[in-house]
Amino acid sequence: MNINNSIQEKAKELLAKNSVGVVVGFSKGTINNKSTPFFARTPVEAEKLICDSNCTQNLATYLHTIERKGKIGILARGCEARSVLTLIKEKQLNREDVYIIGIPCQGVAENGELHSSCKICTSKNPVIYDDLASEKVEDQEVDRFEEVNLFEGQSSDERWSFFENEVSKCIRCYACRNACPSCYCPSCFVDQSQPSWFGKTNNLSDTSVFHIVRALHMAGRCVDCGACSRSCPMGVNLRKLTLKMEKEVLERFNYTTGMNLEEAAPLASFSAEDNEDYMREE
Amino acid sequence: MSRETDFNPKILAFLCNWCSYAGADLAGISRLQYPANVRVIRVPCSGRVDPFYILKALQQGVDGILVSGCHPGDCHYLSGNYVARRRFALLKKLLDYVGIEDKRVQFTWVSAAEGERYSQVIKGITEDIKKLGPAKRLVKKF
Amino acid sequence: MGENTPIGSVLIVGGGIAGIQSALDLAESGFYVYLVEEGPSIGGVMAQLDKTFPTNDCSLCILSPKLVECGRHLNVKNITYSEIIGFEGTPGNFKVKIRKKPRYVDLEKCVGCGICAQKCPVKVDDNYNEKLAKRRAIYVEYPQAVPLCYAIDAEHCLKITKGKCGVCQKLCKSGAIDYEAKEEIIEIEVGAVLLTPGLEKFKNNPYIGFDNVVSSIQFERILSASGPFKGHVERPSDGKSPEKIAFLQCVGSRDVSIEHGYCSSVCCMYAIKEAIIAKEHAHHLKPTIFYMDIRAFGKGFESYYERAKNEYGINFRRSKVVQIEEDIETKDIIIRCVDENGNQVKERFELVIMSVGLEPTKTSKRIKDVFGISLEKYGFAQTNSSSPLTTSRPGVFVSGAFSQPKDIPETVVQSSGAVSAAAEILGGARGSLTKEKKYPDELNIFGDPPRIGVFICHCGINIGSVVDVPSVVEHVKTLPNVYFASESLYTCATDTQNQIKEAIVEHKLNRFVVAACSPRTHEPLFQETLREAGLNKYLFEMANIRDQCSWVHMQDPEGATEKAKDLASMAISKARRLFSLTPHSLGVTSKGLVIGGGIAGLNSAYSLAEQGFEVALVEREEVLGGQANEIHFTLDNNSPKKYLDELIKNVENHPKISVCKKTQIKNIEGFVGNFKTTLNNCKGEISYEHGAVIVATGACEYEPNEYLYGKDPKVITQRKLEKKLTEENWQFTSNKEKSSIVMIQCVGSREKERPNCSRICCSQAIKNALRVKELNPYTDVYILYRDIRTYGFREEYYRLAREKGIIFIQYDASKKPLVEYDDEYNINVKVRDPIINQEISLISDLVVLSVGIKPYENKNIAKMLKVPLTLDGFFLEAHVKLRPVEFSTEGVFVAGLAHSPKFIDESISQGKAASAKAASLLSKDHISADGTISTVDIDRCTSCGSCINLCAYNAIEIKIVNERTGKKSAQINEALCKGCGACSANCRCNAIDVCGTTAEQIYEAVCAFK
Repeated sequence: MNINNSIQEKAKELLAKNSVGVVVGFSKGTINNKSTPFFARTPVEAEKLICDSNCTQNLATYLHTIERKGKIGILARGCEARSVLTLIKEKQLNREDVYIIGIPCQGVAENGELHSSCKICTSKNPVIYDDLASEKVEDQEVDRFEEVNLFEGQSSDERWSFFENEVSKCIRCYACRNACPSCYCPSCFVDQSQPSWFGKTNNLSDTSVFHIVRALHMAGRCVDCGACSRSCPMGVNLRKLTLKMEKEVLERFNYTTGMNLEEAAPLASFSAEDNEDYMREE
Repeated sequence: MSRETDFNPKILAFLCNWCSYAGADLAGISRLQYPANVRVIRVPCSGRVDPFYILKALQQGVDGILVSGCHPGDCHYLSGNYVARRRFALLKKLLDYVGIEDKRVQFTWVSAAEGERYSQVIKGITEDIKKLGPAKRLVKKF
Repeated sequence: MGENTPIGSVLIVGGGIAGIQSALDLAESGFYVYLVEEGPSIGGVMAQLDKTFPTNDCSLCILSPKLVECGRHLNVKNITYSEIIGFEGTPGNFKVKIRKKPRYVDLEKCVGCGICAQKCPVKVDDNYNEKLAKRRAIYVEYPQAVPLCYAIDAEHCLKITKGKCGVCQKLCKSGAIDYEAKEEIIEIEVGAVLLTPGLEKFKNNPYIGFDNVVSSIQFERILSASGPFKGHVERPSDGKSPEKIAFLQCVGSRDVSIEHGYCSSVCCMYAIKEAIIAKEHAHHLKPTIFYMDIRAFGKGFESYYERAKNEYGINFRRSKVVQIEEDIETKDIIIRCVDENGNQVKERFELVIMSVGLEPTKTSKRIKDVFGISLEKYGFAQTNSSSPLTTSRPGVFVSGAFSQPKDIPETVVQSSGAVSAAAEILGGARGSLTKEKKYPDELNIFGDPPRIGVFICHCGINIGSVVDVPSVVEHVKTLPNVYFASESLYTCATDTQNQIKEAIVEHKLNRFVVAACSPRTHEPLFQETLREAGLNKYLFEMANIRDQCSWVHMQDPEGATEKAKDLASMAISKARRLFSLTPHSLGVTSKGLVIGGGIAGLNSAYSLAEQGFEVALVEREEVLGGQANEIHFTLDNNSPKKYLDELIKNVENHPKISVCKKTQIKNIEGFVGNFKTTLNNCKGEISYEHGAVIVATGACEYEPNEYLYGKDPKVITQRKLEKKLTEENWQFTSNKEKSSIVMIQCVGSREKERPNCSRICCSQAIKNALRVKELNPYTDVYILYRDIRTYGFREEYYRLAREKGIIFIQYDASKKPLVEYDDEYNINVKVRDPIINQEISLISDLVVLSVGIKPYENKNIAKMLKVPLTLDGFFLEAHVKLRPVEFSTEGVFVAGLAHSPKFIDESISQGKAASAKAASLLSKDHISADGTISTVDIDRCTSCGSCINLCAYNAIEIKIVNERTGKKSAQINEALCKGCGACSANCRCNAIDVCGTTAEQIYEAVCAFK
């Protein structure tokens, strides 16, 4: 069975039985090769549900805003399932309030090419689900940090000029923030006053700080779905920073985001044994 | 005179009240001399120090930043320094990564009995920052 | 005051950690304290230590807050440089005569600036640094000393001895120095006395004349970062960094030839600690410890010892040191010893440390005479195992090393325990003599624009000689919101305090900033002044321009002045954002709950009840008494049975105690002062409200499965043997003439699964062995041991056992004894005898296993109370050194075996200590938290819960804050929060802020640094 048919069948059944009030998924967009997020609330609407390589958003983002009437059904590819798990861990969602239709995923496309985050994806299959829409696919063995390692190899001057150049493209539209399921603070630090820590314009220093803090806030919480970078209208290389955080969190705290519910998130816990290699040398 | 010695860096230090601030006091009581470049902000615990403080100071054009808390195991609040240590590890690594010079922002532990060590740390960081020269990266220009 | 009403004050003799702990506990629970110390400042030996075992905490870092608290507690009167010369009366009503030696420096006037000592021409050996450094004739013992007031050493002062000099008087801007000061006699009345004069370090060390032989306490100073060598391990002879260093154990301990037959209990551990710390300072060091037995018997000690061996590579050598000599050329030290195999060995070391033992304080004889108490034969205060805290004189109690050598945690336990003992007789007088200060009503400044007043202090010439104070004043005058700025000679002096108050009124100030010395020492003083002027104390801010400016930039007046201006600006910027804080106050249910009816729990319950509090004592079994029911006699031949029966009777008949037997704890809710516990027994569920909990759940015997136990009736435990020994005509063999018992130590202790020592088994084995010998001298008794750990006075019985012919054979963990049958079905114990270095075979009629103590399954209670357990399952206290009966969860205390293995006397002390802590809480009608705690902005909080585990005090919970919307948010329990800020700095949404150092305040301070 075609995966879209499988999704539609499952969603229809869930909606028909009233097991869920809505199924969050995608439908075909109005432009060719673009899909759009779609909330199916009736068995009929469920027939529009699809999931393919043109579905570039992370659906878990909608779990924050969707009106909660009954259980929520959601399509979840590997990264999305990890996002859902992260949200459950962060008490934004109860496991029993969500029905996960897991989708083993072969990646999404950008400009006709596999997106950079998908190229190094090592969790194509959902880690958490109630039902699977298809057979699991084979995961790849890949060095996720090749790019980070290469960048680290550059001089601090080179890294700074790269960073400055990337940041200078940013127009502070916050599309990255809105696309991210882990960005759900009622008021973001950049919007707060009293004190207003950092300026709100696209002053280079302020924008740099925005990106640094954004990356810090993603530490141990980013699943590298790539939705932020796909949503950026200016093509800022956002994953450069979040991948670095992923690497540090893995190497220092042996933590991978969104893999299991029991393990405490690295910044929600501490250990007497942590590495102090970054501290001032005597 | 070289540029290096002309340069009188501005350094900001966040010291925890119970160990490092007490260590700094002890350095004074022992009259251990060190350069006058550092301004101290007293915080209850190294765990109180938000990365914001450091980023804001860098934006302000502060040339060097030091955060110092109790040695592991000595925290007055039992585990505040462990919490801080995780947070700072990520901040420090990220700042290095984007190209902020390695020694611009530093973290250490100084106990209440380590007046001598405190003065050494201050001498050391002042030297480090003098070598680096004035801060330029992340400094906010209006 | 009526004839029978006791006096609500207590005299404490000795200002070491024991006295300090007792003083704070007493003052916090409603008694007025006179703390009398012979020396010029309080702190005692603990102030000299570098680190403390087994956590390697910095000693001064953990002691110093207590010193400061003691120094400024409204209900502790510190009487330093003084001694007791007269004592009379009865419990509840004593008269005390105190001689105050002349200090020659006025305590009221001295501000501790230290100019005098800098200019004093006389150099004297510095006893605080154990003569490794010099101090002046006018001095404070150490920089953090309390009171921070100088004293003149009359013996060496030129002015006092020869009438020359007088330079300190000329320099002292406060006019504090008076060479004509005379001694003073004062008389006070108290209800009870605690004797805490502490210990003396063994001094008659025959080798101390060699340059490179130092005592362990000297080495402690050498290791200290604030010591004479600034923490560098150096040889006194040439300042070189040594490689090979040796520690010699039992110097002045376990030695009858010098009348020190006891074990000093602490030396093994401090030697291990010093070796570890030394190695951390200088990695190339190769320390060797020469010892007889390593006595790592305390909580977590054995693991520390193992780490020293395995991780730090410290070399432990069991041997008898015969002689040490000095190589005259190199000043190296040559140690000759006999090793455990009887071989003579000679080895060269560059530095040798003598692990000196503890002696009774040198004042012990005088204390005996003045107070009329008995001393035991070595000169320690006489106590006994069922009343470890009482002296022979009613109303006079003892704690700490004065009654027996002991380490800091046990001293602290006893000190709190002694507080309970005193409070039991003074209960009715609680609160009768304590003082409470009245302040004017606070001005409401909410919404008023900041009007800031500033004083810049000269501190005599301490600041003014380096920093250009007038220019700092001019600078701050230009800053917004500053309505008053002035300089002062001593801002802490009484007249300037008055000026502050006047300025507040005259200029309508609502914030005040002082740029002077350190807020750590002086902030409370200025806050007090603000309160007296009707301002909230949190409207004060301080800039440290002395300790962290003028004193450390003496050669750079310009730089120091710039820095002082910046620091003042930053403080003023922060001050603009200060606001009034009202400490949160909440009620206390003045009842206690004690979980566990063993020795510790019974003592806790009884003591609380005697102090006037209602208590529920919950016991899961049908009978009270716990493990003590199984103990038939003690090492010193007392009958614990008699004591226990008496105690149980007293508890069961006490009108204030409800004993709930066969009862389980189903649930515990709430927090400090306000707990609600559900008890469950055959009658159903009972709900009990209380303010404090004491966990005294005990522990049990390890059930062995080794050495044929359970397979052969001739293999039994010590406990079984003990019981049999009390049975009449018990015979374990028909062969009366020639029989043998083999005891095996460390069964189920010091193993991989149970790494710690069970503490009591060595004494238990010796106790039973002696009894066997007494009943039948022809029995051969063998004790196979790893280290004999008869610490303190128990050592005497170890010696007695050897005298009685009990044979001790040492074995290693790697070569455990084998218990097997021989061909004739006799039990044969095989063990390698190290002295002849071969395996011997002992045919035994009885094999007795000294089994360890293992904790009960404590997880459930731990979870309900939110308190932690150690890796091996005992309860883990808040701080192993200074908070041995508390948890970091407030209102919850621990005592007895639930904490760690211990003897009856130790459980009694701890039971009483826990009740002292609980009583201090329950005696308050409300508790008020400090104002500097976290607050949550519920609109910003996402209730993600990341902060919950970061809080060391369990102060954060996620709760529904709006029933209608179901909105959840983190909520801070104000009674529990300590204001560290770990939660706040980690909050992505900035939903949590910390009063006293708010984000806004820090933001302003950062922005002011330009």
